[in-house]
Amino acid sequence: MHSENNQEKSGKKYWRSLEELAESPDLLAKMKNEFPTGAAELEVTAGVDRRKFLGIIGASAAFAGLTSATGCIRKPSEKILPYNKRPEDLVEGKAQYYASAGRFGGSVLGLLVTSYDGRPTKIDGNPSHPMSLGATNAFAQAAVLDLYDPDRSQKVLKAGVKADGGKTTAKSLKAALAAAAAELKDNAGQGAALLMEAVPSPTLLGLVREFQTAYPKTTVAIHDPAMRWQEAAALESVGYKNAQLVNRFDEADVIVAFDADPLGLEGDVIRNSKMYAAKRRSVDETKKMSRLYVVEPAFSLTGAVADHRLSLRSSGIGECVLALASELSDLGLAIPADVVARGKQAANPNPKWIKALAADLVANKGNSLLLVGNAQRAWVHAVAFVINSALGNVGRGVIVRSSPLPAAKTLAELTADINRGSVQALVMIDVNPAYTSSAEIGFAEALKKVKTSIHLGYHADETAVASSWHFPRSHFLESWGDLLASDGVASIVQPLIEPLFPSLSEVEFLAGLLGKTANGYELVQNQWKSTAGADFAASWRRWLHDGVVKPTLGETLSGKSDFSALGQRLVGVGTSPSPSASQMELLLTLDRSVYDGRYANNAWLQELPDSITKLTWDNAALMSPRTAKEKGIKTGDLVEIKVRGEKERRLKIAAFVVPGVAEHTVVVQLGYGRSFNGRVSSGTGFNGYELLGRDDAFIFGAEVQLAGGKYELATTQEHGVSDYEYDTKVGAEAIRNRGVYRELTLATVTAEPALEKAFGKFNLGNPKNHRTLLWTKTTETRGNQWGMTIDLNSCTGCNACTAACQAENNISVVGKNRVLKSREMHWIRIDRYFAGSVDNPDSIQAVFQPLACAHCETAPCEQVCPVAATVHGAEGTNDIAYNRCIGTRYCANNCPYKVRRFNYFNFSKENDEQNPLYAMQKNPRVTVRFRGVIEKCTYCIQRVNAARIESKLKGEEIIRDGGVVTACQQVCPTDAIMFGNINDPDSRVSQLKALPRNYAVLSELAIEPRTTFLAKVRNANPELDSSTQL
Amino acid sequence: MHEGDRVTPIFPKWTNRIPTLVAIGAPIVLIGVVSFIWYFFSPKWTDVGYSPKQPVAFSHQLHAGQMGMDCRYCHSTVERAAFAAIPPTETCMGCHSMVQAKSPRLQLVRDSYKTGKPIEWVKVHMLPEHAAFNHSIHVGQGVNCVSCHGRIDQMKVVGQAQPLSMGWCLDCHRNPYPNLVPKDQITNLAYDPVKAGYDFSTDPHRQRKDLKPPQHCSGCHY
Repeated sequence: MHSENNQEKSGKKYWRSLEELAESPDLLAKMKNEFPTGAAELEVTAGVDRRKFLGIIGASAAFAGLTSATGCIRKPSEKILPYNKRPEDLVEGKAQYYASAGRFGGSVLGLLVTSYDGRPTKIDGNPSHPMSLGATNAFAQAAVLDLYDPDRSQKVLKAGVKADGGKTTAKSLKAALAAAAAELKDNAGQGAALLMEAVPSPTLLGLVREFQTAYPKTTVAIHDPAMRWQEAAALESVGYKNAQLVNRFDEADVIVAFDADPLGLEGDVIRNSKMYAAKRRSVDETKKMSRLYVVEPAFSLTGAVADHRLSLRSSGIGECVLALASELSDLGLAIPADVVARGKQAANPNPKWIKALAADLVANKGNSLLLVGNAQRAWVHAVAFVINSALGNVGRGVIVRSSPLPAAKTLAELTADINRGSVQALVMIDVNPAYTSSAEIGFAEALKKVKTSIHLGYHADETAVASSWHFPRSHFLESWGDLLASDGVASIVQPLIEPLFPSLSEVEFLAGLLGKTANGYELVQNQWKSTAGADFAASWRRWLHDGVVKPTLGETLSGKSDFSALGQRLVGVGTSPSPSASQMELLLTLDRSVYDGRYANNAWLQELPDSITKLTWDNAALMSPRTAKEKGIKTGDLVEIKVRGEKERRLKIAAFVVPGVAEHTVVVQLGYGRSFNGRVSSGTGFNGYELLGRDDAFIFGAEVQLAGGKYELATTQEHGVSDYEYDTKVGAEAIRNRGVYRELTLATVTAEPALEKAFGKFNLGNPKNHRTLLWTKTTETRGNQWGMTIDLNSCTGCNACTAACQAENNISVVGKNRVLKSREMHWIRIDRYFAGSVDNPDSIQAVFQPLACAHCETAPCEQVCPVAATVHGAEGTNDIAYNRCIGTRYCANNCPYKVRRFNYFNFSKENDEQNPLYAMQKNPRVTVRFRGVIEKCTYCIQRVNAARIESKLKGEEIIRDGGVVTACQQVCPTDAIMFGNINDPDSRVSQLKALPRNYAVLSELAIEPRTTFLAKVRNANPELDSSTQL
Repeated sequence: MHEGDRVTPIFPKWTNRIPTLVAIGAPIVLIGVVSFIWYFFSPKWTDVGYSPKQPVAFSHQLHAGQMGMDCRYCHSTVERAAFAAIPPTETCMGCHSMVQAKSPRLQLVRDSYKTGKPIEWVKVHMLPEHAAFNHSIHVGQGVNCVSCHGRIDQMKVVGQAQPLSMGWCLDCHRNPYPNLVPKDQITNLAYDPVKAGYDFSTDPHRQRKDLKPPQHCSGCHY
């Protein structure tokens, strides 16, 4: 049979979870079920039993009869409330777009925000901004929901309780700010401190300087997970004061990331991804692509897309870099002698691997790039910079730029100052250190010693209630501001809506505390008047329109690096001990969903499955299968992690066993388990900050023990299984890989005939392997015929598409309990597969495949719908008329990709009831679905229709290529998704579909999906991987 | 019981005719019920003629009919947007700050202009929310306002003239040509393309001759 062929010849086996790899009976049982878990059970509100439920049903039916008796005469009348004075340029019901900017995960992104009738509904990237280049990430997508967060701070708090009788108005807010300013004046003279994030906002930093002038005894401290302290210290030690590194992936043919995640959470992720992907896609034209090596303790997105990945605990990374330096020196590279000397003694985790890497780097001198992650110490950054210099990468792939931030202390240093009594007044701008810091630093206790502490924050969070004053912060869509991207391009942050609640922006807050007028618009304008030159009004309008300010600010430092002090730095560096089962290494990382906890109250992000673990609503203690087995720990077991520090720190947390984690390492993501009780965040996960120490994110000597008890973790990794089928002929219920995910090696792609042969193994286009076509194609072939390609070679699994789809298409959030029953509603999910041997962590690979409705030409769902609610559109789309759907779910059952979602409850109404402001985010162009109907990807049909109307009005029959951009395509930081007219051979999507690596998932079913995939190409180093397997 | 006694019939004699009556009557009743529902439950009966009382007694007959104001003077977004927006109060006041400036019937309009509170007009043409209708494309392709809205210029109080049901929409989407008028006659509600002898296929101002309005679900429902 075809399936056997696939499995035997495709070589590589992909699996979704360890359970599946082991073919666990539980999973097999799950797969056999027609519907996902719990679908046949009656679920009613707690406390209502079945009998009572039937009673309610009967009563409501009777009421429905009564109302319909009157209702059928006339539907209820509706009112139209026109504007009194229509704002200029506003056309009712038409979207308007405004350029703005925001800072997400440490990167400044230029944004283009969609607004309907004055209501911001969607955030997208500004194509003319160098850091977003038109794309965004999941954080930026979800930021619009934050605007409508009903739990956002709405009241001024004084000593943790509501000031002015709990009725904060714009007026009382001003009065409170003046009172706080007066209090500040009384105390700040004896020693003040400003604690803020590393926000590169010229206006805000100008005000900080003014603050320092007004109160000369002011300490500035920065508390920000994106702040690159270690990199800055390393740069300082080689002669660049107050500098930062900017990476250019478009210059790099060989990229090496040491515990760094430049494509996921660190630095200018979007720009890095765009440039990286372009270097990967070039394989189709030039048969060349970049090669990515990653050494890391647990899967990051960068590690997942790496061509070669070495699994190594964080504390071993530095040694690894040193070993590489010494290896490079052997190959003739000019590395300072003291570094080489230390490198000779370094513990080399894999000499063969390092040797091959060194040779590759030397072969690509000047076109390579070494990156070191934020968690690593300064000396590791310094050694990597030495290597970058020796390879001639500095000035090309690695650029040293001046940092706009002032000299600042860390939170630990500030806390020491407070404890010494030198800080009487503390101003905190949008930070939450009472939660986001280690108990070992003791900030929360120190805060009590400060006479006046004034806090500005978006939520009345852990720090807000502990401060003497708390002021609500405006959302960036409500306030004026400015942000400087890392390459010096500034953007004006432009509001789209008046603050929903009385609140202050960062600049208004600080200006108000200085006794200045708290008008953000004036403050920002004054800042930029000098830059504009003669005609300020014209420049200002242009900047607001374009979203970027010209000229750029800051400078590229080109001074000579001085490595003389480097040896000194390496003196104290000892070899770190290897962890063991009893003395494990603990690593605390930022979370891909809630970051450092700031997005914990965002329902979209909480329900977004983590890229690797596919966990929703929780974090967990991640462990490799081998380590877990050694310790007798299984996924879902509660474990206790104990760390000895100044005090013993403990955390009880659920374990999650996942491949790719370094041996004897336990990884805990931060940001969960908050005591701040939001409607969304409450009861999610475990507080990793309780384990955090004073210095490093990685801690040696953690004890991990079973704590007894179980915890249910909602992971979606086994949801929507479509890649296996039962082979009953074998006798046993063996599952067969159907070649859903496909990859090639660069060697196969370069040898043209081999490629044909390779793809032949997948039986592509071989009619013999097709099942009989059950019905004739009904699709028309004229006009626009929509199709999509998803390039698996570019995709980094970042989840931006899932979040963007949720924002665009009014997709509901269902909550953890329903995710456990496979009821999540995401229209586009990202399947993550592992490949490799569980016993060899270095062999583990992770790959991503975004999957949404593929709009099959002979769609199986359409054939089984008893009411013709899902039918084929004239342009090849698989349509749903929600009002026809009666909820039989036959279509979902018959869908081979398992991409149809059912509204088991009135999720959308529930969402709106729980979070009353969420309704304001809804896209008015998309129907909000009701209980009992199926929904799924529509190819953003609302955008197709809008484009069709636009082109018809212009008198054009065919929508031009690029006229329709789907939400997932627009947001994709790697341009992996392409959408367009497949009827036009010149459209970009047609050209991609003509590539030899184009394939259809489950093509043997002859369903002819309109969405096809481009196989991943792995650029393996022949020294390390000589196999030409697929 | 005696011989010759006649048994008193349980059912009177006329009941013998019941089967015949049922045979004839049932189909009539059935057809009657079906027709009743067919017509009286359809928007042709329930919706056509709906003309709610408006807060301001604005007469389209006076403004659009007698004075001949173009529809687009007030409903200015009709060519650009999905909605033919109700004009803002300031549009009314553009004239009525001078014309009929003291009329008590315009008190609400003046109040609205002064206070900024919108006038609460009652919606007449109510499409279901899952039907996405776009004015701009219909007007842009030359469908006269009258095709859907009737002779607004003759209505003192605006009422619904057409059923606006899906079947009615599709009738035109299957054959739009009888409803097409030259672009300069779009808002001329009295214009009859048949009488005027308008032939869309020879209209030099019409770029698209083959209109192909969507007939599939996602053309309107999404």
